Amino acid sequence: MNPDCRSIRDRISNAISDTLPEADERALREHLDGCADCRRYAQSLAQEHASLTEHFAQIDAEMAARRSHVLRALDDVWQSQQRNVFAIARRILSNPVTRIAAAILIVATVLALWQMEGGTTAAYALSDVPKLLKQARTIHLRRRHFPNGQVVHLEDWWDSESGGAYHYWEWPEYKQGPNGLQSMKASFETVKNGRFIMEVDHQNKTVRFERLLPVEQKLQKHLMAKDVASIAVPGVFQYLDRYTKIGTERIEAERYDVWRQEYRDVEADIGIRFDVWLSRRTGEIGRTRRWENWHKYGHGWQLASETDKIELDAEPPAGLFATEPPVGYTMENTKDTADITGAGFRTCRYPEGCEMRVPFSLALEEGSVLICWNVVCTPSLAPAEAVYDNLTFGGPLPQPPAALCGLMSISGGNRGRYGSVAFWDENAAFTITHYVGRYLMQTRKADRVYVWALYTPQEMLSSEEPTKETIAVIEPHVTDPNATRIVTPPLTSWVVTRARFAEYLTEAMPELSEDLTLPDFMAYNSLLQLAGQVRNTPGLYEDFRARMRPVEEGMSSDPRPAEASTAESIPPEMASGQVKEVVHGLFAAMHEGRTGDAMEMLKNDRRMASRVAGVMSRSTRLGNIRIEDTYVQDNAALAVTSTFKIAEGQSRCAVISLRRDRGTWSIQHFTWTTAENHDQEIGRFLRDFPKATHFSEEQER
Amino acid sequence: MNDAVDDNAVQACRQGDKAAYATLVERHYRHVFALCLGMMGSVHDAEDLAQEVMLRGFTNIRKLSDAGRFEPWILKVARNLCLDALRRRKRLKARAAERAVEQAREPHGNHDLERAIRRLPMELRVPLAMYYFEQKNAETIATMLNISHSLVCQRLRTARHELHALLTEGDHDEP
Repeated sequence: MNPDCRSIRDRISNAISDTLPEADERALREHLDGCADCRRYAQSLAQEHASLTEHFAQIDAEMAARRSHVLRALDDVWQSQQRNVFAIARRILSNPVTRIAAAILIVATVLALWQMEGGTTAAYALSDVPKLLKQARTIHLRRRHFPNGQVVHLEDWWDSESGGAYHYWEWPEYKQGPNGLQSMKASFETVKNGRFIMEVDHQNKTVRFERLLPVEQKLQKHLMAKDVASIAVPGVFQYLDRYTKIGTERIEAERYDVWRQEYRDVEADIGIRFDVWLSRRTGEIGRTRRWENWHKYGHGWQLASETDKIELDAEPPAGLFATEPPVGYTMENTKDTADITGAGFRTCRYPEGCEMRVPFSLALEEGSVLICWNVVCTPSLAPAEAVYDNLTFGGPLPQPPAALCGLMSISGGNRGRYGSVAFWDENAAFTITHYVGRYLMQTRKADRVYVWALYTPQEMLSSEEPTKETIAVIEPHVTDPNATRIVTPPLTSWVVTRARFAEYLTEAMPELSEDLTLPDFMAYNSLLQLAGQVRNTPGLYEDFRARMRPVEEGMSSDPRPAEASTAESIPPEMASGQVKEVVHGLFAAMHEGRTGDAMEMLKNDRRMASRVAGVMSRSTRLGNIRIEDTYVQDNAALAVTSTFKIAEGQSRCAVISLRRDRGTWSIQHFTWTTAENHDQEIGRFLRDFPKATHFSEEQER
Repeated sequence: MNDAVDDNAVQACRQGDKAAYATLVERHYRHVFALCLGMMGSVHDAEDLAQEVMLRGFTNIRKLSDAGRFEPWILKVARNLCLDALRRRKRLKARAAERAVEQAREPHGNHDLERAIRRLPMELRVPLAMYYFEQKNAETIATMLNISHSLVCQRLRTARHELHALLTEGDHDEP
């Protein structure tokens, strides 16, 4: 060993832990080329490094069992604490003197409590909660969500008398800064005073207003009451019977019954659990918690959100529902220039550059829905005037860049993202009803064109509910080849009687039309007549169903992708090439700091999307990643990358699973793993797809 | 830094919510185990002590003054329990019989490696366990142990060199 060897051996160790500066790598290589001792030493150290990794991985493999053991031991401690309480009780009861004293004490306590309660024994159960929430004049909620270990603070106030609502949320956000991604606080406020909605973005210091028509103000009040109550106690109106009482617990001085419901989100493969703490004495809800169990990650139940303040009839802070913009903020518009929006439909920004609004909608008692919609696009996408020419009452709808081409409603349960049903019901039949849209008229006001259309289901659908929920289907008519998807936001409308119909419509006209007169054909009877004609027109529903098929396939009750049915299989070589392109695209986005693009590609794996955001700022070598292996079977694929450095001293390879749907590959799961452990991930994939074809970079060379 | 999830769970636990402590176990058992493993050098000792630490945490949760700082608190409990155990072990080691018992308890396949790790001094073993078991980088280890980054790198280097020397004792092809 020459004198240099000692310092070289430190460098060998640094190289193993990836902490050797690049400048020293060359010197190390040159020394190793000429020094057999150090070469042998480097080989030994590398082997020992591999052994250490394996040794600790073996220890790690039993962590879940160890944790369970600890939890069982905790249970024992807990039980023994409880037993101690009983042992004391037994000792008291074994002595006649202490027994009598205890009996006197118990009777005295019961009497005192009875007096405190005013001589009554109040007993609230969870079934009383809907009534309590409905009767509340105000509801105040303070919540926290915990996505990926971060904390999102939310606060809501709702005043049933004034229709005022206040929603605040604050969360840490990552933004591209001069030194990579930086964490910063983003906070927003939404204030509704009935007529106006004020959106305040505290991060960018901007304010934007929207305005509601009178009928939509009433709808908003109705919907808000339901929404706030459902946030306070999840599933309070539809799924209360799914809760069971699991025990009691004391929070500060009050004793609460703890109620729990649990279900499985089939699509995301997560277990969801809600716990509600309800005081039997006062009916007060002390706390609610939502837990999630992401089975595919094996983390067990984790707290996803908590509402720790649920106040009924508290006095809101003065001026909370005032829609006065904060001083110094940029006004994107004013109350006078605010767009008219609907309470039952969130503005839909699709396709890129277009905004679809539904300022007014009503459902007829026989099931059809009258909708007034309006599309605003950027100048480059603005529709030619001719789009709105030559349209006839009862004829096809116009085709601006975004058109509300039809409606659907779903019974029996659906995915959360379609909005209309919040819970997946595994036992219910899944049926879809289609509503064909026909043109009625158009009105113009302040440079806006409003399209009025009637959407009719094939069968008459009367409803006992005061509102009707449907899913709006937005069809893009643009040249962008990517804008082929049809998106489906939920839409809620009042169910209106014949008597009130003309009143609501007349009330809306001044806001939506320069011409205040309501055409005769917009009468209730005319619309019923048109609905009848639509139902009897051959081919209309068949055409619409055919156009909706791709959307419905996405809603299929089977959470696994409908591989064979959605697209024809392609040769595995071609599939492997396409998969590599997608994965390279992801890493290019990460390497170039295009956070939005990377997040979009990881939208099916929300947890990983967030983790990737964190890593993007630290990774400097993502651009050089190679895809070493791909496994392809039909419309499923797995890609395994070369090892890369994600942080100092930490190297990983990525194992990415993809699915092909309607000819497009999308990333389902993204896992970082050590090179030693990636076999497990591949094994899991091969268990599901045993006939997968394997392509390796080495073969291709 | 305060952790809201911990804060919340600790508060709930103080109110008698046993399930809330399960959340704390889920979140922190691994760190506690890693520290015990590093300090004790033996998986069995680490298992026993990490369990003891979590149980003490449960029974003494009311003593934690800042509910949002559960992790530093529980790691301190772990460190103290390990130091006590090491002191006890030192006394016991004086007895020859103990050594035989210790050797009979070797649990994992790679006996030489485990024995070599146990023979490392604690200040080298702790960063080694954090690096390989917890897969923390040197910077994080430095923060957790409150020592400099360069010192962590140096200890990892020394640990590797010493392990190599221990594993190749008796071989003659290495200096």
